[in-house]
Amino acid sequence: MKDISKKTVVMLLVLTIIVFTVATIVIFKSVDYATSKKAPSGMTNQGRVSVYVIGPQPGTTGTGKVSLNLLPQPKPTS
Amino acid sequence: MAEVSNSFLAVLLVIAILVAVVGAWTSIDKVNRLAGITGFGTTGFVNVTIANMTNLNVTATECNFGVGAVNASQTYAILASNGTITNWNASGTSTNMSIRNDGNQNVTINVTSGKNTMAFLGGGSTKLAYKIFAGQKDGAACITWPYQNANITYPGIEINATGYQICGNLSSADANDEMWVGCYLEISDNTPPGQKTDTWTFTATQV
Repeated sequence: MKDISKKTVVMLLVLTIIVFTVATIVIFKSVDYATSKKAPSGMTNQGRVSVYVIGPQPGTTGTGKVSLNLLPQPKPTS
Repeated sequence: MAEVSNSFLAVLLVIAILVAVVGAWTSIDKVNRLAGITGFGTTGFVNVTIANMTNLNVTATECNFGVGAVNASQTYAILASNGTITNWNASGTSTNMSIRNDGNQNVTINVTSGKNTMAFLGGGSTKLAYKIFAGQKDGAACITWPYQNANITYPGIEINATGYQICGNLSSADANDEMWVGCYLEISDNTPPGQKTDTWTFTATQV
């Protein structure tokens, strides 16, 4: 194998550094994105949360009472 | 140790590049697949359903005029739950009934009685009346009051089994959801004495 020049070795080293740096940045960005979009546990990207608020029990009628105990009219005093 | 040749260095560097590229590729692929499994989502739905409910609450349930008689030498007496007492020989009178809309929908209020005037009082030759009247207990509980029948204000209108609509739109808002309902009686001196009772039924229907 023919010897490679020192200049080639330096270029390869620089290339290695660039590749590693770019790969690391891409991975970090991807993880950050995934973390920021993470939904509540178990929720899929088509999840649905339903909340039912139950009001008072139905009751459409009520009653009232009218009462009077009427006594005989007193006789006039003379 | 012999000095490392440039060729050997080059091979090592190529291996390093391959490792870096393959590592980055597999890492990105794993992150994407992991996002799909753990709930990665861009859209979600929150669905809140509040059921329509009607709930009428009669908070004061009685017009109780107690025990008494038409004053001696008088031909009639008048009793009303707003405090009116005429020619009656007892001091007390009744208080009004109250109804409140505890549901979450505005409602109409209809009232019927079990008896009409004759059935309740039993007759009388001078004056005889058995009436209902009503009013706002909370500010504007009954919207556009009096909604249908101005006669519902004091002294009111004869009550019977057919009944009347006393409010066409009773609000469900907590601060404005209550009305009072009054009872009005005219009794003759010859009305048959005895215990007299009747039941009024209030019916709420969603507007």
